[in-house]
Amino acid sequence: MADRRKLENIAFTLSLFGAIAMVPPIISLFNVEKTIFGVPLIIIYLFGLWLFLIIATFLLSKRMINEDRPNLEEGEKSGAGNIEEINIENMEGKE
Amino acid sequence: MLSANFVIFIAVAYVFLLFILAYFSDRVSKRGGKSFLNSPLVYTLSISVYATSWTFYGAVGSAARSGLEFLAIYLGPTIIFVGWWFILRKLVRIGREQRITSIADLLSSRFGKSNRLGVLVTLIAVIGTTPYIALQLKAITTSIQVISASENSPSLSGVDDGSLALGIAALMALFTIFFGTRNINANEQHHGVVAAIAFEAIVKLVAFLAVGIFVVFYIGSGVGNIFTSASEANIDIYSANNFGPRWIAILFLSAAAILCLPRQFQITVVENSNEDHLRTAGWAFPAYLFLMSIFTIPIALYGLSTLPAGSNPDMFVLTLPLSEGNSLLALFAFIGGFSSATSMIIIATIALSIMISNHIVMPIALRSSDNLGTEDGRGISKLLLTSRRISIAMVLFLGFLYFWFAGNSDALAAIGLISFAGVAQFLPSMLAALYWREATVKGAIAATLVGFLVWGWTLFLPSFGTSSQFLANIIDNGPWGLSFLRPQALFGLENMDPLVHSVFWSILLNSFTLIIGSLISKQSSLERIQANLFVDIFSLKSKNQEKFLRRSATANDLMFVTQRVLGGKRALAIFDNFAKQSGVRREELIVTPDFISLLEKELAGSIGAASAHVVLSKVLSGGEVSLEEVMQIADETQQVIEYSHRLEQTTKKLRSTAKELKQANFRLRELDSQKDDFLSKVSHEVRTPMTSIRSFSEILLTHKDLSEEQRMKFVNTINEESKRLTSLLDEILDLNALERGERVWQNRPLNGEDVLKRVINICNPLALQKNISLFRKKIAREDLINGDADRLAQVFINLISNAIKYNDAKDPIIEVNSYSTKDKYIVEVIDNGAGISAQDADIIFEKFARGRRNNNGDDGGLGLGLAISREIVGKMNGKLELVNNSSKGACFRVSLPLGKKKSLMVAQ
Repeated sequence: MADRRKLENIAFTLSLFGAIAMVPPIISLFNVEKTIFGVPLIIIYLFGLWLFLIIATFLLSKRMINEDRPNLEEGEKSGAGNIEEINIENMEGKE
Repeated sequence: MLSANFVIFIAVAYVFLLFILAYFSDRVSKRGGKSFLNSPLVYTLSISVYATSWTFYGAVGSAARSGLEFLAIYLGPTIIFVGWWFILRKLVRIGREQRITSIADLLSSRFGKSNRLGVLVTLIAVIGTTPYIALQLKAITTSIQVISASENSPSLSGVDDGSLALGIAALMALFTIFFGTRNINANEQHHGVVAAIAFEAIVKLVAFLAVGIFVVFYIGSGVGNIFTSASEANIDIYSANNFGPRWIAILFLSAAAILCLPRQFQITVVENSNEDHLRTAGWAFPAYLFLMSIFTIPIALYGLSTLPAGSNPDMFVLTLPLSEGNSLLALFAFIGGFSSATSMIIIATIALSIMISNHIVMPIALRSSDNLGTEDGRGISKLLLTSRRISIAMVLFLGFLYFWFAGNSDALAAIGLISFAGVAQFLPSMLAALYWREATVKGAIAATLVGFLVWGWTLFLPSFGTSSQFLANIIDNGPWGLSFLRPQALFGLENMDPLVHSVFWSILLNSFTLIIGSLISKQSSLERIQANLFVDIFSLKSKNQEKFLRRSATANDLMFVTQRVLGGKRALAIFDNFAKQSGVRREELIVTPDFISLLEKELAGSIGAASAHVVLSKVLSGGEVSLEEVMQIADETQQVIEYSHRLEQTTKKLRSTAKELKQANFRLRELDSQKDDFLSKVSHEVRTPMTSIRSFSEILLTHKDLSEEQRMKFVNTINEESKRLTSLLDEILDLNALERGERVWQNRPLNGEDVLKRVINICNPLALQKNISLFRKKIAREDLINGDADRLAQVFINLISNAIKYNDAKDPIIEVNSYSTKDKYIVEVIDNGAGISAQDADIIFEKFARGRRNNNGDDGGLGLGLAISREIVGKMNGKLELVNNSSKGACFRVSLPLGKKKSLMVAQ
């Protein structure tokens, strides 16, 4: 349970962080005339932030446990999610 | 190389391909083969209907004009999807549980199934979306123009923009009607359409990536080079205004739009078949947007630095391949743009048609036909389909008209963000629907209306500014010269970006109205129920909160209505299913509240919550009391009952306390009076001997001349009286000790008959003295009792001596009987004296009480004997009582419980 709460908190912090990192004053820090491999820093920053958010969400989403989900109709549960959940449950069991 | 006719032919062929795709997907999903169509991948791809031609072509244009601003359009939705767990998951869950069919349905359902709110949201959605559809039509016609204009054929082989747009609109209408309104599905899901949209998503992504790769790596020789050559061409990519209020406003708007745009809501919430798909979409959709925009800046910069000045940056995606002579790639890019336009048109019109038919057509139909039963079968379902088909055609035609009249003005170019700002007016109410229990329908309607009006005044209206002198005048000077109402400087807020200005005022006033309106108005009972259902969707386990109270409707009535709305087959399936669950045959189905709320949800899946509620209420009620009224009554009654219950409990407690107090008081008073009584009696008893002692001692002191004999007599008397006094005090102490249980009392097994014999032996001389015959009639077997032998003897002596003392008969007799019953040893002392009057019988065991008629002469009794005796017998668990006897004398009975046989053996 504690894990589940923690994951939720991480997910919330992630979106909050994403939103804050996208607006001034943070974003202004990178809006300077500087290039990396010829590409302006601000572009690297924004796309890097974006990529980070995508990857972090990818890693996080797999682990989020949707406990209070309604009864799914037969066979609707996606296979990947299923396996993931079982793994996490097993891990929790071992601890 | 590319003639206009060829391009148009390609476009039509592409639409035909969509037809085939949608058709087969529909068939596959109908057969139940959902494996691929139902995958999270298809779901994610279909969400990318967000990326319309406005973003396909326009993003590059925007990047060319204002740098990174276009990224905000993508980053807003990214934030929402990264946080899918919090808002989207709740939306999807509510959508599934409540069978939500559109955003209008969501808000209407949450706010007490209010139809007014549904209508308002529908109208705003139509007004906000129609120009957006026009924008897509314009994108298509412009792109066809651009791609074929390079062939030195300025006129499109006899086809002008207008008829081209009309043709496309008609084609889209045909497709949408064909696949969007095939039947009234449960949950309004359109598998065929979704499959087509997912396919289009792939097409536009691949097309854009192809152009991007071509530009960057084929002709532009690397990303770094493009930036270098751009800065050499003096193109400023660090425009100072990049991340100001406008950036934040666009981030906010795009985040709001991904939730509130009717087409996004349709795809994300309504078409969602599995909540878990969000798990994938949470990262995959941002990833899609990421890929979609990764080449935008290089394309824009390359276009700016290589293409001749004045060329339209919105069309760089087409013109760059064309300028390099790669018409095949240009054609592919055109198809990408075309697909992003068509997918938006298809989903937007489906969403709008559902909203129009459910929230405008249905309520009117329901109101105009009071009796649903008189129409012939399937009336409602037919009406729904027809109204949806008509509204699809109508919406597309409206879009075309808008394009026709405003197609060449600047109004269209900015319409994307204007549309976003329009639907963002749903956001406050939507968030309130999900998280704020106290929000009321009045607050929501007022808020949405205020937001809509402010948006219309500050953003939508000025977008026509250039087309009319009258409007331009209002924008510059305000209506009737009221400068504080100038659309782009409301309340004197000047020098602000018009978009930021509008978003700020509309969302601020919208939210304030919602909060204040909700706080000053009251929720109806249905609203309260729905609010709890929505807010607590994750914690509520019992789903059937909606209770209908009357059950006047039979299953047949309900069947009739369901058939008409959902069609015969589905209705039968629902009824059969429920009958199976409750274990009866369909004909025997009983209308339970559970069944009704299930039915309402099913119906809501087709015609929206408000209409479903109206339909069912019509069938169920005889028009007496509405559910709401009953709920309210029940609610108020509940409160009153609870209050009075609490009051009652308190009163009861108080009353019992008072009663206890009263009893305690009474006992205390009784004890007090007893004590007084006792004291006065004791004093009285003590005074008599004391008086005689004093008087005799006085005589002895004063009369020295008394004879020895007399003196002896007096001293004797004094001695006697002192003894009497002592014995009185002894008895009082004894009684007191007995009553208080101060003395250790030990009951030992003893033979009652032994004690009795001993007592009779003692008393015999006394009796003989008074010529009383003391005899025994019955003698008990030797039986063991528990008690104290000496004390028991004291009781017997007291009884017998009393009998001797007070017997004034001529031939006095005293009879002492003893016998045993099953569990008692009984001794009776009977005399033939005057007996005890009923009056005396009550007080005879009291302290200092004596039979009144027996105060002839000094008898030496103190009146404590019986009181002590009773106390002693009580200590031995027995009873001393005065019994009614046939003879005229008194009869005292002592009954003592027998000891156990076992203890008898031990004792022996």
